Amino acid sequence: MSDIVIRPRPAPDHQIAVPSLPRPCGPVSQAVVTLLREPATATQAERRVRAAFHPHLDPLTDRDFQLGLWCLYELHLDGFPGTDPALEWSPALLAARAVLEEPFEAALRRLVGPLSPDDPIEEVRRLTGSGRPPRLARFLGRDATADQFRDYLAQRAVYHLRESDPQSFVLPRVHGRAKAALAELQYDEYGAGRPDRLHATLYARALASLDLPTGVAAYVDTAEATILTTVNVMALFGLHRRLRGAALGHLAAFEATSSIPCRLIALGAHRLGFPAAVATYYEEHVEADAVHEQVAIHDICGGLLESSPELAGDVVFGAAACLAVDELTATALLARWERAA
Amino acid sequence: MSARADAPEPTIVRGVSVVVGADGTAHRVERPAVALCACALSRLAPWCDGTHKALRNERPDTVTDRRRPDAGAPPAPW
Repeated sequence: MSDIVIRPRPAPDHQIAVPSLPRPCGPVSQAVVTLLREPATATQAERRVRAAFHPHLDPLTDRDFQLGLWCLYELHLDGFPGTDPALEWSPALLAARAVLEEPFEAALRRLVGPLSPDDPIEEVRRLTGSGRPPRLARFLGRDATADQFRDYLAQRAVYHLRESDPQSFVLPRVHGRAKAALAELQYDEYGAGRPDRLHATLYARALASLDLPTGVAAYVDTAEATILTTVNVMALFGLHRRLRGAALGHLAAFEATSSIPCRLIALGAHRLGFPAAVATYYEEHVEADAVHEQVAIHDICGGLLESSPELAGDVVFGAAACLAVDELTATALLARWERAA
Repeated sequence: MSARADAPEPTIVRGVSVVVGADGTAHRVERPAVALCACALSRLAPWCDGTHKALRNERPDTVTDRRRPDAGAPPAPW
C-alpha cells in the first residue's frame, strides 16, 4: 500500500520556532523539557534533575521519571522538531541522562533480584521456556473490546513504530558469530530488503487501517509509565557498550516470548473484525519470532558468550529485566482497562 | 510418553530458496533464516510457530501424545 507515509522530520533549515516537545507531567520531565528549550551547563543540568527526582519514587512505574528519560533518549533517535540536533551530545543533556540512568538501572536490578549466570544460555531458555500465553495476550485474544484493543495498539506504538532500532546500536559493539547473527535478525526485522515489510511499517499500516496516527509523537503524551519503561530499558541497554550483554539477553527474551502471544493477539484482531493489516502485523511475528528466538539465544547470545564469557551475568540480567518489565506493563494495561470499564 | 518432554525445538536453515513440505508442496523462503517445525504440530508448517513450547508447558498427567495417528487433530494448546 502506497498511501501510508511516516512523515519525515523537518530538515534543519525548515525548523519551526517553537520546539514540539512532549507535555511534562511532573518535576523530572519538566526539568528535562526546560533543558531542551534553554541552554544550561552540565552542572546546572545535573543539579536541576537531581533536585526534581525523589528517591522514594519507583523509577520503573513513575511516568514523570520515564518521560524525562524518554525525552533524553529521543535525542539519539529522531530528536524533536525545532530543537538543535547538537543537543544529542550536549554535556548538559548527557549529565541529566546520567542522573536518571543510575537509579533506573538500580531499580531494574532490584526488580529482577538475584540471578544464576552459571549456565546463561540454559538460564535464558528456562526463563523463557513457559509456553503458557501471558495474561495480557490471553485477554487481547479472547476478551478485549474493540476500544481496549485499539488502546493496546496505541500504547504499544511508541515501541513498534521504532521496532528493533535500539538493538541496532549494539551491532558495532559485538563481533564474529554474534555480529553476523544479530545482523541477520535485524535484516529480517527491517524487511529483508523490502521497505514495505519493515516491521515498523507493518505496524504503521495496522494503525493507519484504524485511522490512528503513524508517528511516535502522537502517542507519547498518553503512553503509560511502564510503556515508556519498556522502550527506555532497550535504550539504556543499547546505548551503553558496557551493557551490550544485557541488550542481547533482553533481545533473546523478547523474541522467545513473542510467537505464542502474537498468535493470540492476531486471533483477537480477527475476532473483533479489525482490518487485515492488524492481524497481519501479529501473524508476521508468529513466524518471524519463532526463528528469531533460536537465532537470538543460540547464535547471538551464544556467540557473544563464546568470546566474552564474562558477560554471562549481563545476558541473564537483560533477559530477566525484559520479562519483569513486561509483567509490569501487563499489570498496568489490564488495570487501565479495568479502571475505564 | 507425554508431549511435555520431547516436543523438539525447530531446525534453523539458512541459504535455501525453497522448502518442500512433507506433502510435496514447495514453500518459498523469504527470510534470511527460517525455523522448520520439528514437533509436527505447527499450524504454519513447514515453519515453526512456537507450538512446541506450549506443549511442554502442559501438565504431563493431562497430555497425550498428539502425534499418534489416532490422536486426531491437536486442540489449541492455549
